[in-house]
Parts: sequence; C-alpha cells; structure tokens
Amino acid sequence: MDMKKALPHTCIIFTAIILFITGSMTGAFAIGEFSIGINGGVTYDPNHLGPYIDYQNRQWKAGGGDVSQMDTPYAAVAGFSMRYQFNYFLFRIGFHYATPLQDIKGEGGGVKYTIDTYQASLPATIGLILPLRKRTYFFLGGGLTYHYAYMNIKADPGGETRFADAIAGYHFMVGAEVPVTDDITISSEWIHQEGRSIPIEDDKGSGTKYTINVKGDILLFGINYYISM
Amino acid sequence: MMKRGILTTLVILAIFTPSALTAAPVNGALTLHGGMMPSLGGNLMSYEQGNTFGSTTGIDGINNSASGFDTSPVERLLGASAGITFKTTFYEYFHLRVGYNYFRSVYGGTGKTVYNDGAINRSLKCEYSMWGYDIPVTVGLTIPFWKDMKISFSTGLAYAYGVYTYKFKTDVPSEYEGEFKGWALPLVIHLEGEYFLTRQLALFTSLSYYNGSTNVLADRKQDDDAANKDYASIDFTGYRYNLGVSYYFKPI
Repeated sequence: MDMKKALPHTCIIFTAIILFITGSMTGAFAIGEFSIGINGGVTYDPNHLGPYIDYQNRQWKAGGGDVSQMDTPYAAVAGFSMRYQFNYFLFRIGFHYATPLQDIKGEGGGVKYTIDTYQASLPATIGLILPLRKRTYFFLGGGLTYHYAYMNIKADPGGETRFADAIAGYHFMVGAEVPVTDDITISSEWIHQEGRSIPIEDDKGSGTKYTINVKGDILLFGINYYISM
Repeated sequence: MMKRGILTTLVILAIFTPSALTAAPVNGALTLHGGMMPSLGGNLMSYEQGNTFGSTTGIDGINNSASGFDTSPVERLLGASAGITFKTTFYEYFHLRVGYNYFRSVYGGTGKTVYNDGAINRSLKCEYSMWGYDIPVTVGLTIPFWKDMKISFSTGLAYAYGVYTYKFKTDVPSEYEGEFKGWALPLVIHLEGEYFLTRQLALFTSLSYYNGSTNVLADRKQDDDAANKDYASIDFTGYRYNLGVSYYFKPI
C-alpha cells in the first residue's frame, strides 16, 4: 500500500478509535452500558462483482456455443462488535468477514473462469437508540469503514489476475434488539456500505488495473452480552 | 443449484415453522397493501443496447441528443405494486412474514433519442416495460410501543419472477424487440410500522429493500438462430414503499 492511501486509512482508524474512546469517557458521567456481541448473516454480491459477472456472461452468451454462467454470489458473514451506549447514543466498533458460500465458476468460449473473493471490514459507528423498554431498542446510525478486499480471477487457459487493497468507505445501519435474559439480547440489523478503491494494479504483474467496489448490503443477526459495570 | 437449494429450504421453513410455533403465544395478521417501486428493473441493460446503440449503462446511457433531432428523455421505470402479507407474531417480539406482491411498470421507459450508426446519427424510439411478482419470506423483531403502535424489522429472501420487455424503433426503419423472463432470490430488508385504530385493525406502512438479480437470460422474442438475439439479466434491486391495512386475528 503506498503512502497516498496509507495516510487516509490510518486517519480513519485513528479517528474511529478516538471517537470510541471519547464517547466511552464522556459516557462515564452518564448512565451508560457496555456490550459485546457476535453476529452472523448473509450478503449478496460481496465486492460488487455483479456487473463484471453480468458483462462476462452476456459476452459468452452473445458469442454462442456452450456456456455455463457464473452466478453472482451470496456470501456468509461473521463477526463481532463492541458497543458503548448512553442515553440515546451508541458508539460501536466491529469486525466482519464475508466470503461466498460457493466458488464462483463459469465457462464460455472455451475458457473456464474461477473467481475467489473475500472482504474484511472494520466499521466504526455512531448512532441513535430508540429505547422502548429495558434492553429493547431500535437503532440507526452511520460511520466510517475500513475494508480489506481481495479478488483472484483465474482463467484457464489464460492465467491469473489478483487484486487486493485496503479501502476506506462509509456505512449506514438500522436494526432492532430485544432481550432474551437480563444481560443477553438478540439483534437483527441491516448495514448498507459504500466505498471503492483507486484502480489497483494486478499483483500477478499483468499490468491490468481494476477498481474494487465494496458497495453492498449486509443482513446480520447477533447475540449480545451486556457487561455489568 | 445454490438458488434451488435456498428455495427448497425456504419452502420447508414456510411449511413447518408455523406448526412448530403452535405451542408459543401466537397471533396472526393479514395485510392488504399497495405501493410504488422507484427505478424498477434498475438500468435494464442488455447486450444489444451496448452492441448496437452504444449504451453500456442501459436506459441511462441510451439518452443522447444531437442537433436536428427531436428527442425526449427516457426515464427509469416507476412501478406500482399490490399485495397481501400474512404475518405470525410469537413470543411477543418475534415474527415471520410471508407475502405475495404483483408489480408492473406504470411510468417512464418511453422516449426518443439518438444513436450513432457508423458515420451518421439516427433517431431511436424506445419503450421499456416490466412486470412480475414476488413472494418474500422474512423473519425479524417486532417492538410494540405506546399503546397503539408496532414497529417491525425483518430480513430474509424473496422468490421474485420478472418479465422485462423492450422495443427499439429506428428511422432506418428497423425494429428490435426483446423479452426476458426469469427468477431470482433477492435479499430482502423490511421495515414496517402499524398504527392500531382498534385492537384488531391497524393502518400499515412499510419500506422494503430488495437486492438481487437473475442470471443472464436469452431474449424470448427471437429465434435461436437470429443474429440479433439479445441477452440481459433482470434486476430486482430497489426500494418498495407500501401503504395498507392490517387485520389481527386476536386482539393485541
């Protein structure tokens, strides 16, 4: 990663951590709560490969012959989060990792394609809580996200290209949370994220450049534990 | 194969989940609703639009102008929908929704533009349209607040079937017609609010977001041997706004 990209990325992570710590410190004077959670869910089209896959499929179909189309993938998502909340505000940092449930494979014009991709994200969120009862909330918020996105495209015959980079982006989220016990809740949320890299050069040295777009939607279900303070 | 597997799982869940919930404190509600769908079908891109008319972004890129040509904008489709939803609420906070929505384009998609045919510009009349239906299955959380409100947030998948058609008429004259039919399993995020007029009757409003599209489909209007056979996918991604009325089988 060059300095031009490293600087904004470092600033974003640093700002996120400062915001979280500042929020937590400020909250020490209010009635606040800490919680940690694990979550899992699903997303469609990680790293926004859909337009590329669609374009490739259309070209194959228009070219005639036997075609086995590539599917735009669904991906499993898993991660964890830490949250501090007081009054009507929440501060949250988290991590989630998304990778397709199946390999992306296709064949057309005598060429076999295999695409391998994943995305790791660190979202830092500031949000509002609508408390309805004890541990019963609607929440919505937004913030900055630090992504690491990877994709490897293998064409046989043809060779391999690989693009990977850290990407700064932003996200919005909305969700709901209800209690299971006094300290444990379950939550459901939707995260919409946006962000794209600058054109990245192929790691394999072909000279090809590609812009990774991390635009997407993530559905998450979580289990959260409130730490007594 | 993966889509069929997911679909089978959805059907099994839809059949067996209600019976598994019979031991839980359960209420049911039926909602009739109608609404609108901005940007129905997305940019409606197809191979032929890129190959012949120079648009790599479908309906967005088809809009052009040139001096001496009478043009009018070809806008993205606005869809209208009508549907019915059955919702089971259980253990106070949780719910499962199964619905049926019929939708079709009611505005946009027609206009006159210009394309470059080799060295000369030509006039092009465009007509895009789309209709279809979907069956969303979502699970989520319901939170009652005040005495007469409920807000629900749920996520899941939908079986979505769509038919996308277009007609392009040039001043050569020549006509291009395309029709694409297919299904997909878009992700669904659903947020709804209900205001109770009585203990069983509520006004309903919702916002849903779908994300998913079909594979690339072959044009059904052309013979297999036709040189200008076209290829496109049907995109179900977009927002849906609904208004309606809910009836709960038991008083809340």
